[in-house]
Amino acid sequence: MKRLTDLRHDVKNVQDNVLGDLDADERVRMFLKAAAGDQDERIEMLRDSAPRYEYETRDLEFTHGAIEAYTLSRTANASLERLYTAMMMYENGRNMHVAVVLLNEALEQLSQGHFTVDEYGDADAPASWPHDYGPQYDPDESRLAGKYRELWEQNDLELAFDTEDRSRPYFAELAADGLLGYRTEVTDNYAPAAMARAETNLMETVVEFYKAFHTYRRLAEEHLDMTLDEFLQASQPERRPFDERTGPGWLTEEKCRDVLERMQLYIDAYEESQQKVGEVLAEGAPDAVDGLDDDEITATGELMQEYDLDDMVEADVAELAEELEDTAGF
Amino acid sequence: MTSIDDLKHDLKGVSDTVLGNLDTEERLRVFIQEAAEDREERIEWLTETAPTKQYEATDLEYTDGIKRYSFLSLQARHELQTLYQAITEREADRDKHMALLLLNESLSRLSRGSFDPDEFGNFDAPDHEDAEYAYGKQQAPDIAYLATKYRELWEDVPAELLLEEDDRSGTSEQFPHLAALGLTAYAEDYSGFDDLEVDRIPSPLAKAEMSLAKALVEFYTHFHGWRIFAEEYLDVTLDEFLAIIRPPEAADSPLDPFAGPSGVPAVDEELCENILSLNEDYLEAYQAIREEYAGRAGLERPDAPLDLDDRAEAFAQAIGEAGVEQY
Repeated sequence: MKRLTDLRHDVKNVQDNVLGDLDADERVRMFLKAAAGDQDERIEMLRDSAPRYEYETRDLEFTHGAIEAYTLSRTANASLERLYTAMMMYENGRNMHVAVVLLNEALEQLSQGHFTVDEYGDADAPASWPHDYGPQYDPDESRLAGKYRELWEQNDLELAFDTEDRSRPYFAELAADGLLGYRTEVTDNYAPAAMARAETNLMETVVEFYKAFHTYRRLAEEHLDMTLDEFLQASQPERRPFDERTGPGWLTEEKCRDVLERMQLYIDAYEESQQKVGEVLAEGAPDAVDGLDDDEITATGELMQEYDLDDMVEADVAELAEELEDTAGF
Repeated sequence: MTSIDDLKHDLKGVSDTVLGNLDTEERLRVFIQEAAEDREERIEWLTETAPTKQYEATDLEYTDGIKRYSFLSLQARHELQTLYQAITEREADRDKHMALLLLNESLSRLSRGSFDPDEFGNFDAPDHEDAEYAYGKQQAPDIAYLATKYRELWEDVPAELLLEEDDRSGTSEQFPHLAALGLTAYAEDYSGFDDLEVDRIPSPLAKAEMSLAKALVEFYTHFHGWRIFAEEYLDVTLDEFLAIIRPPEAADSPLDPFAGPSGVPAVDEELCENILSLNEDYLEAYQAIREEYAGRAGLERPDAPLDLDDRAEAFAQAIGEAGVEQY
C-alpha cells in the first residue's frame, strides 16, 4: 500500500513538472483533448499547474461578463433557430406524407381497384405495371415508382435537377417514403408510421420552441431589462440584402409569435395529453406494476393533471436567472 | 470638418465621465444594448472607460483560450445541426411539391378532363354558386374545389393524422392549405409583362430544389471548414472539437443547448459525411444549374465561385485567423 502511494506521488511530481512547463498554447490544446474525453481530473491538473501572473488590466468582471453575455445571446439565437428549422422540417414531412397517401389513393381509384395499399402501407400493384427499377427495389414499390414517373412525364413541369438518370431512383425513393406514411397502429409488429412520427416530433418540437422562446423572452425582459429582440440582436450578424444564408437566421419576437400562433393546436394537444396521463396516474399505479411507490405516482399524476407549459417556463426562467446571478458581473 | 471633430471630442468628454461611473453590471447591460445596435464605437468606449484593476490570476492566455474554443465549439455544433435540419426540411419540401403535382395529375385523369390544370396551375373551377363545397366561400373557388377533392380522397385513405377529429370530413384546415400549396407549386406566368425578358418564373418546386442545393453547398463548406480547423489548427478531430463543452450535467440544465429537437440525431462527423454522400449529385450539379439560371434570367454568367474545397479551406483559415474577434 505504502509503495503504491509513493508511486502515485512520484507520478504526480513528474506530471506537475511536465505540466508546469507547458506554454499557454500547448496547455489549451491539452485541455481540448481532455475535455473531449471528459477527463475532469486531467482538466483540473492542467488548471492547477497553469502559472499564475500578476496583471494590471481592465475590469475582468466586465470583460468576462461581456463574453458570457455574448455567448448567452448566441446560444439563445442558436437554440431558437435549431428548433424553428426542426418545426419547418416536420411540418413539411407531415405534408409530404399526406400528399403521397392522397396520391396513392387517387391511383387506387384510377386503377379501379387493381392497385391497393393497406393500412400498413403494403402495396399491391398490378403485374401489368412495369417493374424496371432494378432488383434492389421491392417489386410493388418499383411498379408504384414507375407509375409516378409516368404521371410526371405527362406534366409540363420540370425539376431543377431533372435528368434522365436522376429521375428514376428519385421516384423509387418517393414511393418508398410514401408507403412508410401508413401504419397508424402501434403493435408488436409495426412501428408507428412516418407520418405519425413526423407529427409527434412536430408537436414535441413546438413545445420545446414555446418553452425556449418564452424563457429567453422573460429572461431578457425581467432580468436583463431589455426586449427579446435587443437580446437576440446582440449576437446576430449584420443582415445584407440578398444574403444567401440558408438557416432561418435573424429570428425576431414577431416571427416566433407568428409560428407559435400557427402551431397553437399542437400546443393545446400536448398540454391535454399530459393532463390525460396525469388523470390516469392520479388513480395510482396499475396493479400489474410492482415495486413502484403508489403515493409517488399519485402525486405525480395530480401534478400532471394541472400541466401548464407556462409553469415550466417559470421554473426555467428562475433557474437561468440564478445561473446569471452567479456569473461575473451580473 | 473641424466642428464635427470638435463635437465628437466634446461628446467623448461627456461620455467618458458618464461611462467611467458605470458599475460592472450597468456596463454589461449597456454593452448588450450597444451590441444589438452594432455600435462598435460605443462598445469600444465602454471597454476603454472600464476601470483598470490589479489581479493575480491563472494565466489569462490559457483561461481565455478555453473560453474562446468552447465558444467556437458551441458555434460549430449549432451551425452544423441547423444546416443538417435545413437540408432534411428542403428534401421534404421538394417531395411535398412533387407529390402534390402528381396528385393533381391523377385527379385530372380521374375526372376525365373536367379538372385540368394548365402548366401554371390554372384551371376552370365551377362557380361557388353552383357547387356545394365543404369549404364554403371563405376559400377561393379553385382552392375550395381542390380541397374538397383531396378531402374526398382522404376519407378512403387507411392512415390517420394525429390531430384529426373523429369525423374525417371535419379536418378543415389541412386540405385548403394543401390545395393552395398544390396550386402554387406550378411556375408563375409572366408572359403578360412585355418589359420582362422571362415569361415565367421558376416554380416553388424548382426553388425548393435550388434551396436544397444551396443548403448542401453551405453545409459542405462549413462541415469541411470546421473539420479542417479542428484538425489542422487545433490538432484534434472534429468529433473531439464538437465534444469539448459537453458538460456531464448539461442534460439537467433548462434549455440544454445540446438537446436536439425530438427525433433529430445530434451531428457528428459520420452523420455529416453520410448526408453529403447521399446528396452528392446535387453538389455536382450545383455549378451547372447556377449558370443555367443566370442565363435564363438574362444575367451574365455568375461569378465563378471558388471550388467547394477551396471555400472550405478559406472558411477554416478565416476562423483560425479571426478567432472570436466579434466579442
